[in-house]
Formats: sequence, structure tokens, C-alpha cells
Amino acid sequence: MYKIKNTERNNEKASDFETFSMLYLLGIRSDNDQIDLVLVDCFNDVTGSDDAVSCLWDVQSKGHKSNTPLQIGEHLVTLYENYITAFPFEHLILFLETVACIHVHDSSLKIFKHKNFTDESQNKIKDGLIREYARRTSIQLTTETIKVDSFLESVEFVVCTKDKVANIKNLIEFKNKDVRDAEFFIEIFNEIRGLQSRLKNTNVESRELNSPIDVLSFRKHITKNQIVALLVNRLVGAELFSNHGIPIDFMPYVVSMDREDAKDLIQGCIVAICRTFFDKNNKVNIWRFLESAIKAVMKDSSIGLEEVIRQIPETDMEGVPTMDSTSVKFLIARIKDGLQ
Amino acid sequence: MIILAAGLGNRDEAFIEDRFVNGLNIIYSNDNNKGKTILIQSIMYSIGNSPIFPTSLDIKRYYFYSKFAHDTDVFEFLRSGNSILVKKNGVVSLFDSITDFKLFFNEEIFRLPRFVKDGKPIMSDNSLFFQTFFLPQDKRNTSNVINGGQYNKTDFIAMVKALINSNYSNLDSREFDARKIHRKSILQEIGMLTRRISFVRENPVVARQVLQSVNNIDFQEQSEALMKLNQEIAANSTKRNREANRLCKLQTLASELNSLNRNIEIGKVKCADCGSEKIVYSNGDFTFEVSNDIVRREIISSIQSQVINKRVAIAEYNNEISKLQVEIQEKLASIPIEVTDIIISREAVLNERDNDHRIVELSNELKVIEEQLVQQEQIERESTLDVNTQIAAIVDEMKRYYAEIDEVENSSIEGLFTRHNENFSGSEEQIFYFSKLISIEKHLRLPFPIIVDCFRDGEVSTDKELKMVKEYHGLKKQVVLTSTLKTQEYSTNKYSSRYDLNAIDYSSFTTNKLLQASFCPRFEIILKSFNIEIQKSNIMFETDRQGKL
Repeated sequence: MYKIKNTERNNEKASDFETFSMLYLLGIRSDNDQIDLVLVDCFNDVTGSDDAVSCLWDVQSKGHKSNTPLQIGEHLVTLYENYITAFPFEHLILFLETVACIHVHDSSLKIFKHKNFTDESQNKIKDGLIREYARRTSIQLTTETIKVDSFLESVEFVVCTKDKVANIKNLIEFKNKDVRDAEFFIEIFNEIRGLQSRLKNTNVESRELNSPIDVLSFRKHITKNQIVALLVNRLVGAELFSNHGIPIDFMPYVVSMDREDAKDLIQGCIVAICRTFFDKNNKVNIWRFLESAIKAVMKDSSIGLEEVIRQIPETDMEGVPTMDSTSVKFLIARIKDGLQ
Repeated sequence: MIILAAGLGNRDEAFIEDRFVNGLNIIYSNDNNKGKTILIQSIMYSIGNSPIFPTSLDIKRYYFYSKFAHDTDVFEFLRSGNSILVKKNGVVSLFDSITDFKLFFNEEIFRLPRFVKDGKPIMSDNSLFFQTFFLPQDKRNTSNVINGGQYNKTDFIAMVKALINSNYSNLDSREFDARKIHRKSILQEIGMLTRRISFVRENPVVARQVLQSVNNIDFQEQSEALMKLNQEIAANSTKRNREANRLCKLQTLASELNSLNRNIEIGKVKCADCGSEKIVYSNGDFTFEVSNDIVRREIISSIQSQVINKRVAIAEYNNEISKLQVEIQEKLASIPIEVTDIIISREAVLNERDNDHRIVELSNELKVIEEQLVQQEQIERESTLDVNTQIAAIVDEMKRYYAEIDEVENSSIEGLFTRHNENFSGSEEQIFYFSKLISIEKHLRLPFPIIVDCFRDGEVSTDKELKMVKEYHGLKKQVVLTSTLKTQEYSTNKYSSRYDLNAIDYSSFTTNKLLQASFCPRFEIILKSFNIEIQKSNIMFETDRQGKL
């Protein structure tokens, strides 16, 4: 059983920082391909997870300008509380804005373990944690010190790379993405931050969970597919009219056509996609369709358009009446082209 | 179709009548309200008729049942609300609406007549069609159809015409129109070719020059150059038109995108406790917007730049075209006048023989079409004539029957309905309907029984009644009549003493109590045969997802 406590609402700067920690999980970490979704403000500020919620990457993010070792210890308290539960918190991460070089041996490291701290700092950190835990729970950690030691050894300390553009750009490989300016990526960063803080506003404090998978029923998570679909959608959308090329997979459909007819057909497709991307009143269905399409393309980039379309559930297709079957093919061909 | 049995009921009370014979049936009683009308209406309601039950019967509470023999099959019908179950030779099908049932009726039982209503071809509804052989007791009106709903007497007459001749069509004149258009285009082409030929004949000098100079190299070069210019102009105008079309679509898109981009706002949600507009959903749809400002800006600005590009392209094509036109003018000016003539009249002259051939061909084609049109008109005229003749014959027959029964020299009957303000009533009404049903039956021979609820209403004298019964008898098909007898008539065994008809006596039933608990076990067996278990409150058919029971 797990009881949810201390969820928080905070200001834009803190939100920025939490979005950085989410993007760290989804894009920067070397094991990011194992993370399918990120839970927002459930177990901790953000918590990465696989689809089955059988492995958790727990992140405490502290976007403070400076941190004393004592404060760092205090920040660890939620991670520690999670560590001693039965839930599968495999990775414990403290996400920090800065760590002053006097506290650590090697200040060039962006990701490091407890032992990188100076001996004095290590003691302070431990003190801070024990003191904060006692303050919160009125339990003095004396007998459990061994657990505290093993906890501290497993925590990863991560110093944030506060570059919105790089954080977003790193998420996927897409043709021509470098053409886009910083504003383009910052806008996407802000959109993710917006959704994250909307999810944060859903209050689940004091709710109890019997099994980790139950946390999904709160719908307080963002999936990797969602984020990938967002990026693909924005990149495809931005070059919808300015990209004059015919995507390779679409060639067979126009190759036997008269040049002028082909031009008309392609303009027709682009017009339909435009209508779809501007239709604010059907967004749930449009995303469902896009996510299915992108999932099918990414699963196996060698398959043809017809096969991709076969893998999209019919209901997802029907949910987007603004797209006819040729426009669907054209859009998927553009997506495939970009992702290759 | 021959009625074998009919009934109605639910778990608590029911009634079943199965004493019908394939001949003349008279259901009678010594008093009113014995349930004759309920039975007759049940029969008709179960096969899709609009109900005209006595108001005392709450039709929502009952199932209505009927059993018919039709050709070699046995059909059973069970209706509840607007759902009808049909069992044909043991197989049950469910129809969830009267329209679905109508389509079944049309396919499996009788091809319902098609006629034109409000300019559209439609298939007759059961309720309208049934009036060719069924007369209810209530809502009678000799000047219009009974309980017509969307139909009126014009529709009934159109329907009877369609029954007389199913090919009788003012249904679809499209084929006819297509032929006429074809004829017109042929005539135009013939006219054009004729003008060319006459030009050649009237200008023999030019014609000769053309023929002589065809092989002249100079001429050939000139004419090829002109042809090439013309082709270029044509190609450029095609491209220009396509671009103009695309431009137009982009402009429409741009204005459409602005409207799509607006959210549909449905008021604002407020917290009832504190009035705050910040309401948090615990289980809402959290998704991204389908596009963001940057993407939308990018799209709109690319559309705008494409619009500009297209305008430029169109202007360039226009320039190109006018340049080419100027070139043609110059070329023509530089060519000797005779050559110009030759070039212009070249086609007329060179193709003279071909033109002759083509005219002959076209004339032949024209002849065929003319014949087809004449034939078609002829058929149309004949079928109209035929149908109208038959309608007139039906009306004549009606008049004859009316005069015979009512013993008058001349009836005022003019058609299948009386005039708008001239409604027959009493015995006149009864005889009018009798004449109409018998006449329609004699001409159309529809495979349905004649059913008349209350056939001697309105004090029809015994003498007249006997004549009518004799005519019904003479039809040699199933006829179901109902009648309320006077005490004296009843006591003299008016019907029951006759061996030539099947007299069914309802007098013994308690007044207003046709439905009886004693019929329930039998009725339940019927329902079970449709796979229905009766529940007290639930009278509607339950279906699973596949629409099967």
C-alpha cells in the first residue's frame, strides 16, 4: 500500500525545472528507451515508469540557486520515504540546479553518486536527511541508519542542463529539425510544461494505492508516445506548405499521374491535413489517430504505407473525418520521411 | 394471403381467434363492444398497419399476433410497439421499425407499388396499400384516404395506377431527357458540318487554291507555325486555369482555418460553493492542442506566400498567352491574304469528303434516336391511356355496383373518392365502400383477403345486405366481415342458419371483456414459439447486439 502525501503546486520557474526533469527522463538518460511514461506529482515531482509500472525512476527536483549539503539532505526525504516502501523504486534521482564545487571532489561531473561529495558534506547530507525525516514523521532514525546508508549509496545526483532547446531537440531524430529556430522548440517546451502543470492541478493527495499499476487510473501521466507525437506533429505541421518535396512513400500514388493532376492531388492532401491540424474541437481523436500512426511507423520503418494504415485501428481513423484516405497516406508518408 | 388465426394478449389476459375459413367469414354479435373491432385491428396492426383501435385498449400493454397462409408458406407475425417479429416456416426474424418490416413485406410477401410523391419515387407504406382490401370501422371518409398521415387520395390513385401497370412510369424521365440532349448535340454538329460544306461549295476558287497549295512547302511551314502557336496558347491556358483553381482553394482554406481555429465555447463552469472559475477536473481529457501558435503562424504565412506565388504565376501565364496571341496576329499579317484564307478554310476544304461521311453517320444516328423517342412517347402514352382506361373501368364498375345495391338509376360517383366537400354517410357510405372494394378486387385480383369491419353499418336494409353478401360470396376468396345484429335478427339465426358462410358468434363474450385469462396458456405457447418469455412489466422485445433474439 502507498499513501500519497505532500503534492505541491508551484510557480513557473519551478514548473520549468520539473519539465527539465521530465525531459531528462525521456531524452537524456541513457536508459530512456525503457521509460514509457512519466507520472506527474504522484509519488514525487516526476516519476518515470514502464508501461506496466513495474520499474520506477523516482525524481525529486529542486531548482534552487544554491544548496548546502544540509539542504541537499533535506531534499532527499521524499526519495527516502519512497525507498523504504515496497513499491519498485529502482532508480532514485535528485535533480539539482547547481552543486557548489567546494562540496564535491569532481565538479565536472553532471551525474554522480554520494561518494563524490566531500566527507564533510556526506555527513551533513545524512544529518539533513535524518533531521528532516524526524521533523516530518516524528520518527528518529537511529536504528535504521543502515538503511539510510544503503539509500544514500543508491541515489543518483543529477545536475540539470538548463537548455530548453537541446532538451526538446534530443527527444527524437527528425529530418530538417535543425532548420527550426529556438523559439519553435521553446514553444514546445512550454506546451509540455503547460500540460504537466495541468496534470499537477489534479489533486490526488491522501489517495491510497494497493498496487503500483493503480496509479495510472489517476491519469496523471504523460506518455512518451504523446511527447513524440507532439514533436512529430509540430515538425510536420510547420513545414506542411513550405516543404515542396513529395515524400518517397507517396511516390507510387502519383508516379503515373499527369504533373498538373499530381500537383492538385498533393495540394488537396495538404489542405485536408491543415483543416485537421486547425480543428480545435476534435483534438482527442486527432491525437489518438496520430499516436497510432506514429507508433506503427516507429515500430518498423521498413513497412509500406498500406501496412501502416492496416495497423491503425479503424475507430482511430474514423475519429478524424477531416482526413480522407489519400490525405492519411500523404501525412504518414511525410511522417515516415521525417523520422527516417 | 389467407388468415388462419389472429389474437392479442399479455401474461394476464389474451384472446385468440382461429375459426377462419378460406371463404366468407362473418363475425357477429347481438350487441356492440364485444371485441370484433379489436380482433380486426389486431390482424391489421400485426402486419404493419397504423392502429385505429378503440381508445379503451392500451396497445402498449399487448402483443398482437396473426397467422397467414401465403402461397405454400405459413407466416406468423407478432408485433409489440414498432417492432415486428416474423416467423416464416419456423424461422424468426426481428424488424425494429415499420420501415424495416415494409422492406421485408415487399421482398417476401408482395411487391409494394412504387409511385411518385412530391416529385420523388417512393414505395407505398403498408397502411396505404392495405386500403385496397381493408376497410376499418372508424375514421371513414369517402372523400379521402383513411388515417392517411402523409398520404392523400392523389397518392392512393397513383398507387392503384402502379398496381395496374408496374411499368407505368412518370417515375423516371431521366433517360428520356438524356436522349433529348443527345439529339440536340447531334443536330448542332450536323449544322456546323453543313455550314463548312456549303462554304466550300460557295467558294470554289478558295477551295481549288487550298487543294493546290496543300503540298506547297511554304504553306506547310506557315501553317505548322500557326498550329504550334495555337497549341502553346492552349497549353498555357490550361496551366493558368489549374493555378487559378488552386489559388481559389487556398483562399477558401485560409478563411476556413480561421473559423476552425476557434474553440466552441459553451459557457463557463463555476464552482457553486465559492464562485471560483478555477475548476479542476479529476478525470478530464488532458491532451495537447492539435497545433500551436508557431505552427499555425507558419502554415498561415506559407499559405499567404503560396497565394502570392500563384498570383504571380497566373499573371505570367497571362502574359505568355497574350504574347503568343500577338505573335499569331503578326504572323497572319505577314502571310499573303490568300494563304490566310487557305489556312482558315483548310479544314473545311480538306475534310469535305470526311464531312459528308460524318453527316451521313450523324443523320443515321439521329434517325435511331428520333425513333426511340417516338417509341418511348408512344409507350408512355399507351401506358397512360391503358392505366387511365382501367381506372375509368374500375370507377364504372363502382357506379354499376352502387346503382345495383342502392337501386338508383344514376349514382353521383365520379371516381375512387367523392369530392372534397361531398362525404357519403350512413348506408350510402357503406355501399360506396362496398362498391369500391369489390371493383378494385375484380380488376386487381390482389392476393389478400377482403376485410370489412362493420360491413352493414348505417342501417343498410336486409335486402341490400343480402345483395352485398352475395357479391362478397361470389368473389371466391377469403372475406372477413363483422356485423352487429339486432335482437330480432339474432334470434332468427340470421347467419348461423346459412351453410354457405362461416358464422362466428361473439355474443357470448362479456361486454368490453374480449381478453380472457383462459387464453393465456395458448398465447404463451405462441410467444414461446417466437422465443419470447413474458415478463410482467417488460413488453418490448429484447435483442442482443446482433439484433437476433
